[in-house]
Amino acid sequence: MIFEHSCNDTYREELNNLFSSIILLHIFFHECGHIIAGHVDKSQSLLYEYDASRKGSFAVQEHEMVADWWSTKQLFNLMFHAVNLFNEDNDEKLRILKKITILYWLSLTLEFQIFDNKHPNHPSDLSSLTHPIPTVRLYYTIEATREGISDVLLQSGLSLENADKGADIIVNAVLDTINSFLGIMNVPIDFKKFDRDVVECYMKLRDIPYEIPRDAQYLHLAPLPDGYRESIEECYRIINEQE
Amino acid sequence: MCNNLNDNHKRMLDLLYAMSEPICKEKNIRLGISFPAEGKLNACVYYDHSYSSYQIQIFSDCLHLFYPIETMTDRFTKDDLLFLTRSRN
Repeated sequence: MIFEHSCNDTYREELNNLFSSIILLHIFFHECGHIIAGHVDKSQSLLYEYDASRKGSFAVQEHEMVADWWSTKQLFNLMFHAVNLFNEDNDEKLRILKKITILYWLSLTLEFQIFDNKHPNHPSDLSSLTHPIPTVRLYYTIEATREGISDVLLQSGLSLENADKGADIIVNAVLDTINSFLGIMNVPIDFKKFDRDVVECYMKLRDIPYEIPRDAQYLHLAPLPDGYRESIEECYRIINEQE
Repeated sequence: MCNNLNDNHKRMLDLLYAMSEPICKEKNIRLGISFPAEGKLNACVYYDHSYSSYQIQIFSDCLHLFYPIETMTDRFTKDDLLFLTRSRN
């Protein structure tokens, strides 16, 4: 843990310490992500994360998504190797991956909620925001975490195909646990009720760089894979039928 | 800009430098990190021409999130903590 820790800490202090540490690391690596992605113009003055005078747009939100994504992948890798340094047991590795996924996702839920409460700026038109709304950030964090897990499994010697399958299995296995924790957290987010607007917004952010050629100097996520939209449509069709 | 670092902050900075070192080497980036004492829940990044390095500032409220976290996690139990922090369960 990053924050001062004593053996007399209560469980609550230990829990706070854990979440605070992950949030601080995410804030730091998010800023690193802006540097890596080329968002920091050397001729520009300070780029504040939250700046009331900064003009928002979907293109600006896409920059934030890339920084979040990069941060998630870096942090996931670092956390896994910090915990798993000398462990050779594959079952134990899987348990660690699941725990890190849950812990990381809950930490980001807290972070986005805290910052969103502190810097509220929610016009009806989402295109004028500088950051995607918390639910959109949390939605794509699942995708970024999936990639982070896949990277770890690749490093463990799995093929790309099996690493991707393994990542899917791990993410799907922890969704219910995450949702249970969200149920006892005082946050207005229900993981299973990501509405269609959230998914549409995420897909829009993924599409934006391929619609705006002038942004070609920045690092972007790859285009959404073929069939992604169709699989989303299929999910909604099934959900609607069940309802 | 006043930094007013205590030992704990210095330890955090050391850790952030250590964690970001591999990527800075890989990308050939020089990085400076600071915790300005200014109480803001914010962070910023810029390029410092005088040091030819990128600078990341994380403002002090980001280091004091215990209270807002506490208000959102006050229903967590000791078992929840054990579940999240121990891999063997």
